Amino acid sequence: MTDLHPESVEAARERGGAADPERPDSIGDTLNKDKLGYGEGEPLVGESYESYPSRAELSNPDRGEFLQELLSHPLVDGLDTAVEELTGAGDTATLRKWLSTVEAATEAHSLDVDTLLANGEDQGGEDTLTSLLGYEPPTDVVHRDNPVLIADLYTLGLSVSEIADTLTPRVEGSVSEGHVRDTLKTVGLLEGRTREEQAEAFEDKDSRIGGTTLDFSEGGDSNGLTVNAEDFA
Amino acid sequence: MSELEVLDTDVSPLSRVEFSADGRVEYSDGRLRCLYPSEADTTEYVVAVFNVEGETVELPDGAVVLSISEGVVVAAVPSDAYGVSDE
Repeated sequence: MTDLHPESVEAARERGGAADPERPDSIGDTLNKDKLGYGEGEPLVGESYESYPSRAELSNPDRGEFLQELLSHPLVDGLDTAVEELTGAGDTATLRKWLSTVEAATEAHSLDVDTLLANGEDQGGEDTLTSLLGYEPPTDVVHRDNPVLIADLYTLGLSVSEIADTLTPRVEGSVSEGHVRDTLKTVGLLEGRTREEQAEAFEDKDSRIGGTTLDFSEGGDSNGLTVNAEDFA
Repeated sequence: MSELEVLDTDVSPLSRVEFSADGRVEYSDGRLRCLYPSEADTTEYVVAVFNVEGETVELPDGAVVLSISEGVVVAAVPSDAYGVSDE
């Protein structure tokens, strides 16, 4: 659970939303490993994305084992997710070509796609949140507005952006860095005003400085504004 | 007189084609044309792309080179060169 010792809280505030430089290496390893998507975290196969084959290179007979390993990975649940890992392309036409190539490559290598994908599922990929906490929290406490969960991740040593990235796949709607920062300010682990407080302060300030001021102090039959013609001279 | 078989087809990486290398094979801009004796034994090939590493390139046994350009070799590779061992 969240450590609220005065020294810990002070250290958390001093981080200002950045990652704890002294956190255990395992936290960084967990955050960086096994993310689906080309260029996301560590590659699912091999040591670097530079070693991934181009679409044409998938035709090389030596790429069979790479393809087999990719399809067996727990995070790969279909040929479309395999393509997601192989290319950073986002347009439909290019993705369709990739999918067609991957299909043809699996046929050339006589790979049993269904079995390989099922093997991946059996291995059960543990998600990042569970790995970080060391347990699977109840579903009803995993939501974007749970300050305890966000505070817990922050005191584990995660940065604001890492918390947003960790929670987004697990909750309804996206979790912005601003939301995480606001929540940490609300519970006192970050200093400063939340965005809502800043907006309220701005509105208060605006009404004092920029608003129209009516002066009813001087009498007269009309209660209208007093205008000095010299002001328009 | 001998009868010759004609293959004339568009190919791309991983296309499967069947012909005999004991004849004439031409390839240009993704178009493969082969002419070989009808009685010749044919082989099933898969069109594959290989990168030239430095000044060498490794091709599987029985591969038929279709083109060489800018560090890339396109070859028709016997389909039995594909597959993954169960080790």
